[in-house]
Amino acid sequence: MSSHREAPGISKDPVADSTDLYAFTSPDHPDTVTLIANYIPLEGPDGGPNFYSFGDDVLYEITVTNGGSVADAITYQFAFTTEYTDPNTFLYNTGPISSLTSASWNVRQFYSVTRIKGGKAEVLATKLACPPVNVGVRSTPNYAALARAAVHPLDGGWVFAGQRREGFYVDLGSIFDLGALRPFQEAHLIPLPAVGGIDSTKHLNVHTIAIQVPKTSLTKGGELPTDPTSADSVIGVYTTASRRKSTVLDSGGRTTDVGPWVQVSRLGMPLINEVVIPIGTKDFWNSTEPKNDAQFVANYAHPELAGLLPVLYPGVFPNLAAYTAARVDLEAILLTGIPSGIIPGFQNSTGSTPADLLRLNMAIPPASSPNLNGILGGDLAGFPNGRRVFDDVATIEIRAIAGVTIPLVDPSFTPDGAAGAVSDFSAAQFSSGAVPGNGRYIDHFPYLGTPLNGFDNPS
Amino acid sequence: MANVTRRTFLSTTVGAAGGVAAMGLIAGPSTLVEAAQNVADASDGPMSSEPMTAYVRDAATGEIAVMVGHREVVTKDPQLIRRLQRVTR
Repeated sequence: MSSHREAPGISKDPVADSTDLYAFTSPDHPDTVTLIANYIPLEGPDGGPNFYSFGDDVLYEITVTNGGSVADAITYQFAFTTEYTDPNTFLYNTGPISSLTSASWNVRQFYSVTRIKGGKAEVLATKLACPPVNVGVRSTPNYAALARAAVHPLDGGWVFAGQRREGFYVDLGSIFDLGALRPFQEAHLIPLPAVGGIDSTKHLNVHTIAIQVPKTSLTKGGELPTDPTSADSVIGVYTTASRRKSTVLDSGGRTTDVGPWVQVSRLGMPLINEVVIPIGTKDFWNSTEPKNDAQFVANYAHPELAGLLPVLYPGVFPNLAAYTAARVDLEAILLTGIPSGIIPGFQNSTGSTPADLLRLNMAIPPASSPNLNGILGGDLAGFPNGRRVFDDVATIEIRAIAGVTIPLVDPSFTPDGAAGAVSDFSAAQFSSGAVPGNGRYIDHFPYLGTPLNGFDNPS
Repeated sequence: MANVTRRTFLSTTVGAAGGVAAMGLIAGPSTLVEAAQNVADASDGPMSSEPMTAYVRDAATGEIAVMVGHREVVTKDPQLIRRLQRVTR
């Protein structure tokens, strides 16, 4: 998964487990950037009676670096509280929920937003309402309206926190069954007939924290970025979740949390802690800061998956198998940003300090015809220039690790033919629209689709 | 308030020897300087009713971490550790 259940520790703590991070120029408001941090992996729509919610005891953050630096510049903090309308019923709702003030809605969640910028912490909003989860056709008959009402104005932009449809797509069951890609599994070391991939997350929801902010509030000098070659046009983004250092589980169901916040989860680029960082280091990685990622460079320079591909697919990746040099291409794409002079008209460098950040060059305008493969597909507005909700990051990163991006830094290398073709899904699945599928996204904030309701899903 | 960064916000550990300033909290940030060598005696002033937890980080060095609110104070008190060890025998 992108970062779903990616480390031993956080896999046991779903509400603090970041799953995906997105950062992109808002296509319908191109003077703004949308930042989305998703939490709670593999969220079944029918998860009652205690439906999924954010953790009241978790501090969620989205941090932005700017000015071509990996230093924290702006942090948005989100803190949640849950209230019961009637603590004497076991029900999430006692009738249809028709509005965010509906008396029949029993379990409500609210949140505050604090911004840390320029050495000052400022509370931007308090007691903003989350929408309910999409319980079902009787309880939440007009869910889209409830979600719209939970989009709140914030500091010249918008904010939303609540349940949405899972946007990330992957063949989870296959990829972790010895690295199989179903459309190509006839070439696997343990061969099976080639078939289309299975979209493992198609019927799942997620909890989303989304903010849409003017670009001028993210740049170092407050200017609107228009020059793609300027370092001031580039931001780096990561999300973290933290818990209090001490938790006492007392008698009578009481819990006491005290002490400073301790970071338990972080996420910048997709799939890094998932497949680049080894299992014995994953929990530690989650506790560290991106600006200290030099300690993990060896995992990028010689990624385990690049060594496994020629073994799992005998004879398919001979050029990759023979390539022993450090993967400078991956270090650039994933750790420092792509410098000028590699891709015409593009850069998203944050300097030479390695850091796991989702980097966005805000001067690149939104694409009129987006390509799911982002920059690999010739679309400079897509991953790894930030990440849009529909970008096929699994395919892009598998192809990059398979060697398709090595020529960017080493023109003497010829990628194997398979490197540019491997994917979780068949070309037919993409061309027919079966993947990513209908209803997964919407064309306006918060861009992830209406969550699936629990009555009809799983169907 | 004092200069706040994300990391100083998260980690408000206060050293026993140095007396490092603790940083702000989500609402109503507090800036306190701890000059503790040991946990303050009740006679030093009014006691907080806030929950407080403490754990022995390293018995060999006498290091105890005390957490209250959003702060962590690390102090050295080998005698307290010995008393705790006695009562848990």
